[in-house]
Amino acid sequence: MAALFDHDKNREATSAAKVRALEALLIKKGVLGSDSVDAVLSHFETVAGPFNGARIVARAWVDPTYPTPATDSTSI
Amino acid sequence: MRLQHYLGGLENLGPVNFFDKKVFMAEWEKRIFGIHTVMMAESAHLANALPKYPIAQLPTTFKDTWTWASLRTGAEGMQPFEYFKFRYYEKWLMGISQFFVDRGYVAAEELATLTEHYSAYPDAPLPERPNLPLKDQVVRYLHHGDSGLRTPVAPARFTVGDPVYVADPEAADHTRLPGFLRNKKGTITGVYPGAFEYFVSTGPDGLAGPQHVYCVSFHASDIWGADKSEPHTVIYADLFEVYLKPVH
Repeated sequence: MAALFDHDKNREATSAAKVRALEALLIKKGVLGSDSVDAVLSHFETVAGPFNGARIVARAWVDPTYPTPATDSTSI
Repeated sequence: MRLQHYLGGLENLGPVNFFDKKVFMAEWEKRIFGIHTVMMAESAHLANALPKYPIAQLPTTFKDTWTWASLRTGAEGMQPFEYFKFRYYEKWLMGISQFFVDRGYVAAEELATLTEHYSAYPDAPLPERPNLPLKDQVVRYLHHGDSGLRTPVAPARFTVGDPVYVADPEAADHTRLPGFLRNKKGTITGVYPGAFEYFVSTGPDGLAGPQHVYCVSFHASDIWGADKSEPHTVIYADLFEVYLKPVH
């Protein structure tokens, strides 16, 4: 039974090589550009992320007039 | 219907870790997340989505439809032991690689050969072929999304305060109805304006076309039993109309 859940000893290295090979082939075949995946990652690192929520909370702390729907009920 | 639909209430899976905020367990996981998101951003169905994207003009060889439903169908259709064996993004990598092989974009042998190459030379570079129009489309898609909002084709069947039972329909690989809510009694707490269409029909469970969506509340004790529930705990679920039945 436990053998069913055994993993490749090089689990992380194998996945890392496979995803890199996949991305390389998709770039070569015109499915992706070499700048496509980085565009996604950059978006979630700099544009859309928990840091936006943190800014809303911080603003609500210092500005009592700041409308904070986030502090109201989240149900409709 | 697979075991992975029924995780709610399954015991001995260990505590839920609320404090580990790590999104990716390994650096490579970011790349498959990115590949998947680009596929969604250049998916053929976006030509008719809201907003309409100029997909036909996009310089890409990708001509298929790829949505969250594609990924979910693959993961939920897995043999349960396989499902539990692999980590979240390992399942993505398996499913997405197989999709590209099955659809003829990539040959299994060339993927295997290149994987060996990158195993031997992990720092070997990727090909350098930027695609600015595709990059712009990715950013546009990430800002504007792929709205499922539609005009309702029929009046809402339920109203706030109505008691409802959750249906227990047959399901194929993919369903939007969590197993632990099946046959449970709840109360309509909200009726979302408009109607919503899921990416695909999920088949025998009845989900197809635009549907009203409700916020349904459940007492935890009605789901797990009073002895296994914290008192005064209410669970909310957003459910498509087809998954609800009136209480007579």
